[in-house]
Amino acid sequence: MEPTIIGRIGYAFVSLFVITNYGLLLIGSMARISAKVQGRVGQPVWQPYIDIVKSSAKRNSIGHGAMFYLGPVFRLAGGVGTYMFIPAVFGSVLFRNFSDSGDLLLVMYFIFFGQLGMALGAGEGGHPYSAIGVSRGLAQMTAFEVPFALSVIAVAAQYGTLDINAIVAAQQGGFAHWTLATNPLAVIAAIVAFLGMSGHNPFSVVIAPQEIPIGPPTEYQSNLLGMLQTNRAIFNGAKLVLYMNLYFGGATNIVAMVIKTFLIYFVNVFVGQAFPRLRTDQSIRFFLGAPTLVGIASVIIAVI
Amino acid sequence: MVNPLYLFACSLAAAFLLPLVDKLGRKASLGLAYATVAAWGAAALSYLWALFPGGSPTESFGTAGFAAPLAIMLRVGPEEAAGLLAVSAVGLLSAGAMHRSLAKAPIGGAIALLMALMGMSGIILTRDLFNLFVFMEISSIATYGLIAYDDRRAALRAGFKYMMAGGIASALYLIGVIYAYRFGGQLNIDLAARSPGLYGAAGTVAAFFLLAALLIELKPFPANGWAIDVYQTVDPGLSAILSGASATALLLALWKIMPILGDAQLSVVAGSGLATFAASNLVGARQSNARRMLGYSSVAQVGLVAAVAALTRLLSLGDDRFAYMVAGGLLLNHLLAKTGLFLLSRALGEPGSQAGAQRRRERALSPIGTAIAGVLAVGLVGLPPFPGFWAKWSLIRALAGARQWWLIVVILGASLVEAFYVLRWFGRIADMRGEDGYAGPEAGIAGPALCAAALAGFGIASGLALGVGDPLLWAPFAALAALLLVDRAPGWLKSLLSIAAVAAFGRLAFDRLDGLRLFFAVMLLGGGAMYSFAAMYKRGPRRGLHPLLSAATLALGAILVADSPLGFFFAWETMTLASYLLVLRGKKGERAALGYVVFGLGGAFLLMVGLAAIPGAWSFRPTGGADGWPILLIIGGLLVKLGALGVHVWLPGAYAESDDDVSGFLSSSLSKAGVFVMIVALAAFGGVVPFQALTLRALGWIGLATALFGALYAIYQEDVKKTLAWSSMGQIGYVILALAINDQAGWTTALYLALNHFLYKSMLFLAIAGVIKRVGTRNMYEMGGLIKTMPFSFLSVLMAIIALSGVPPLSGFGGKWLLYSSLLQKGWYLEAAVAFFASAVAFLYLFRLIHTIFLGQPKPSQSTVREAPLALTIPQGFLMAVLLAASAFPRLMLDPVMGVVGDVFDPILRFEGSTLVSPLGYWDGTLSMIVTIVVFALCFFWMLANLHNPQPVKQFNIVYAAERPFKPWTTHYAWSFYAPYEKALGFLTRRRGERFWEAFGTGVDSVGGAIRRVYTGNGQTYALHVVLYVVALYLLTGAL
Repeated sequence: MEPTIIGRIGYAFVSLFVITNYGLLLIGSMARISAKVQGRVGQPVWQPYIDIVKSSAKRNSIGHGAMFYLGPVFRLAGGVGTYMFIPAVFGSVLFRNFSDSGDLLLVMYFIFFGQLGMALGAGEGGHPYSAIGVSRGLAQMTAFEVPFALSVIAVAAQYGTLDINAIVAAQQGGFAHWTLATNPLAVIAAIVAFLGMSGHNPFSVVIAPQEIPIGPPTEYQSNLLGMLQTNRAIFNGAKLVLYMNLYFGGATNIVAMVIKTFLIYFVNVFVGQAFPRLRTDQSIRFFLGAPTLVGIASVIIAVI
Repeated sequence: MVNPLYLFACSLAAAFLLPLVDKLGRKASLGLAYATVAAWGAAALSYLWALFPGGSPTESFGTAGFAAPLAIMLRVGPEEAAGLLAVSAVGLLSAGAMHRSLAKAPIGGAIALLMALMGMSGIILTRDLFNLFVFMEISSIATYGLIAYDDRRAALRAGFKYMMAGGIASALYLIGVIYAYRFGGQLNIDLAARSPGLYGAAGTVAAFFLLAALLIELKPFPANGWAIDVYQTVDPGLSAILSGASATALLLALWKIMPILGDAQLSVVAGSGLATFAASNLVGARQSNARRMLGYSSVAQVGLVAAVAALTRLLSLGDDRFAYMVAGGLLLNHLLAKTGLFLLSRALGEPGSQAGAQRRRERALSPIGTAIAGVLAVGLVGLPPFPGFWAKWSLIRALAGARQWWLIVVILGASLVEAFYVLRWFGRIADMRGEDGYAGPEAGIAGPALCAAALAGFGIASGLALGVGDPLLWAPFAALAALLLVDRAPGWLKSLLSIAAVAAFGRLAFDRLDGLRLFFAVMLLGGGAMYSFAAMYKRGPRRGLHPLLSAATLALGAILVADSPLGFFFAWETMTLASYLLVLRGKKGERAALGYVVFGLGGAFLLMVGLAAIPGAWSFRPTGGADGWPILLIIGGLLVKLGALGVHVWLPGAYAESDDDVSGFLSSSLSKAGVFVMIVALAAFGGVVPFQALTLRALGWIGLATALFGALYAIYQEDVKKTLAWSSMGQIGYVILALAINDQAGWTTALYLALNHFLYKSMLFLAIAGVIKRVGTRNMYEMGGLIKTMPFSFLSVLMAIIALSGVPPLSGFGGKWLLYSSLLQKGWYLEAAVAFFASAVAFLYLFRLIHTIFLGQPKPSQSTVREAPLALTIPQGFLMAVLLAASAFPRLMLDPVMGVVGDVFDPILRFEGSTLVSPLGYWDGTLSMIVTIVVFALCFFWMLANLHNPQPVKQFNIVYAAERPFKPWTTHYAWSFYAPYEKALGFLTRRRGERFWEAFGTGVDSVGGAIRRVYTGNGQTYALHVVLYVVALYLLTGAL
């Protein structure tokens, strides 16, 4: 039965609640895993909750102007909005979100909404580290978008559609139907792009903790930082769900979603722990090299 | 009709009487001389009146009442009457210019002038070969007299060379006359033409000698060094007589003997004329001395007229009417423009020999003088509405009809070189003008002004004669003239008048604007009106801006309503002209404007050939059966205008160096004219494009490369206007790409992108104009933190960059969605990926733009700037409202677009409610807008709800490397913002286009330089050139 508009909004809130909590736990557990790899005890899994509560509870907050305040709003709205445009669980009315607003292209471009707003807010903060971080981030972004776009094009060409639901539907029927099995090159290109998107090593120069402490959000504190931290969870969740839908057969239930997205995210940690950081120009050249060629090959495979 | 013999008698009598009358005073004697010249003019007018359509075709007068061959015949026909008028008019104007020196020198000067002009008139009138010789000698000797009467050493030297060359020519001519008499039996040209004796081997020799002599007199390349020296050194008034009157007479003499020339000789005339036209223009481009440059241009033009006259007969291009229209039109154009320019060159002062020295020694012209120089220069290069434009069109059309492609290439190529150096010269003059100065006109400006007025008058008459009578096509010039008249009025008044003109044009044109044209009218006319309004943001009259802006806007409108190829091309060139002058108006616009107009003309020439080669009407209807390749020329010409990669080198300069509001007009409105024509052309001829799939694919890649490289170049710019300029280039690249898709989805995309580009690029340029006005610099790193002082401009830029980058929910995303959907649907996957990369790169420069200007650390000196003037913010506010409405309700924009495109293609995209559905996906603009707004609002309230005790701090309140920076604004991260990007991908943007065209220019320049080496300045060498030229001519005639 088609839910009413009120019902849909209610479902959306539930869906958002689930992804937020899942995202926070995912970040916490990955941090803990990283610590273990490095021989530390690491933070508790629920540390992200503590961070957000602590930030939001700060007794005062420093502001640099209207855009500075709006930056985190854009960022969070960008994360939530991106998630809202993706169907999280195939066939589920609860997790359908507002995916009838547009297809894959809308999602891909809405990702920029939060990034742009955040960059502007950070810019008004006036701290040079913010601007340097944004400069690096945007520069790197243009590069990793190329293999990602190629891989998305391969998927669209392969399934003849840009509708995420239809792409998931086409992958139903077992592992052999997943894009991972039918066009592994597209998945490789996309996963490499994902490394850049996530900002973990070796592509962490954007927030480079040593030289430009945390990059764009340098000037942010209090509740504003809390919003950024919340967004990180939601936005990560949204991207993971998108990847799962495009390349790993989607999910027909929440358990499958958790397992698949966890494994996709794990690639980050795995690679991040094994490689040192690249400079911005190195990562640009990297993404426009082998991953792009793999992406082109994946398009050719999809067309043939 | 007055018997012309009386006129000769008058002239001779006046010449004899002059020394006597001179005793009464110089005023009286000069008055008599001028009156005699005027009498010739009056007689010429009466002839023209008598010959006016309906009168007798020609009338002949025999000496002493006999008929030929017993008597010498004088004939008065249309060409003779017009020639006489030209000689006497130029004579009077030049005499006026030389008045002061004529008054000071001995009376012999006036006598020589009178005799020279009479000789030239005689050359025009006589039908007798020997008598022609006599008149040539009279005019030559009198001319030597005139040259020698200038007692400067250089002039004397030049006069001697002139005499030497003239002597050789006379000797040859006399030999020719002897042969002609021997083999033809008499000397009357008309009878000789019918005499069989002149067509044998020996008769050919007679014709050859006559021809060789006349050709030498016409100063062919390379045997013309003697003439160039004369043009450079003598009094400009005399140069005008030589370049205008004498050339007219000699060309008519050549025209006269053409009936006795065989095909081989006609070919030689055409070849020599074209070689002269090409070579002289190449050499002319090397000149820094204005008079010498005009001399080369003169020689070139005369060569072209001679070639056209010969080609008309040789290729049967048309009847006499055609010859009058084309050869006559070109000659008239040359005569008036060159006379005016030579006379004007006196006002410019004594020219030096070095470019730098010259700039110092030349005087700046008054605004009126500059305007007249502009009219003359623009007329000379064949821009509308002057006679040269119409003549060139008819010529190219006829040559295309005769399939003479190589001739077209030579003529247009050399014309382009000529346009380059003539407009370079004019640009320099215009650059010397004072800003908003009210200097009065120079002394002696009346002559050039008359020439300019006549040029315009004849131009309009020629246009009407060719059937271009639609008042709307002439409206740009009407607006230009009307607004120039009130140019001293306050700016706001002229702005309102401009808007009224656009409104009136729109009202008159409304019925002729169908869906597509109406769509473009919004951008072209609406945009023009908007920028006229915005022009009020600077105080003062801003002289010249409003007339040109109004003319450019109406020319854009005229492009929309034109219904014939010529009408369209007329409007197109009017647009080129007006926009060229607009760019030239910019503070440092000289170089940029030159690049703009040379590329603009190059593109226009391609268009012209393409149009000339396609028979049939100019309409938005598929045409079958035509050759396909002309459409390639048309597309090529349009690509130049659109600034496609490779031919884009004019674009950054033109957009950056024109006035800040004009840049916006050029980028957001004017660039759409090319899109419109591309659509019309593809719709009309899309079916006959050769190798259609391949061509369109190539076009798509050109668009794509333009989009990518435009964006890549934009990210490295420090100058905000350069950034916007490159960005415009990139955005138009997407439009080209979308057009190349060539189906309903692609064209919908193209039109949607074009309209969006108009909206957001207008907002950007208007906002940036305000910023530049307030902070007084174009360098972004010299700004910062302006969000506090100019919040409205910030908001405008913010919305514009969100739209431009394609971030939902603003309408720009619709463009991206449409583009990728149609590319993927078409199967152009790789193109889609590159387009994605290009639009990601666009993020870089957009963020840089808004960050370095509005965010970051403010400069202390800019802490008190005010918001932009209302004249800029009002249009921005309007555009913002439109953008928001179009974003929330995409159907507002897409329904009309799809309606227009639906006439041409089968539907691919369709609407289901508010959802746009493609075969691949869907997009609901309204729903995504609602979701975004709701989510944003929730986050906003969340932020407010948890904001405890917010404390605004000063912008400098940051902690940087553990200290409060001493000069915080130095921490503004702005200069070389994307250094790592340059390190990684800088090799892609090494300005190869500029380097290529520079190398090309250097190559052309070197050819000119190499050719120039024949002009040694040595009289003996020049004489040798003449002899060698004749030998070569002989051999060539024999070989053909």
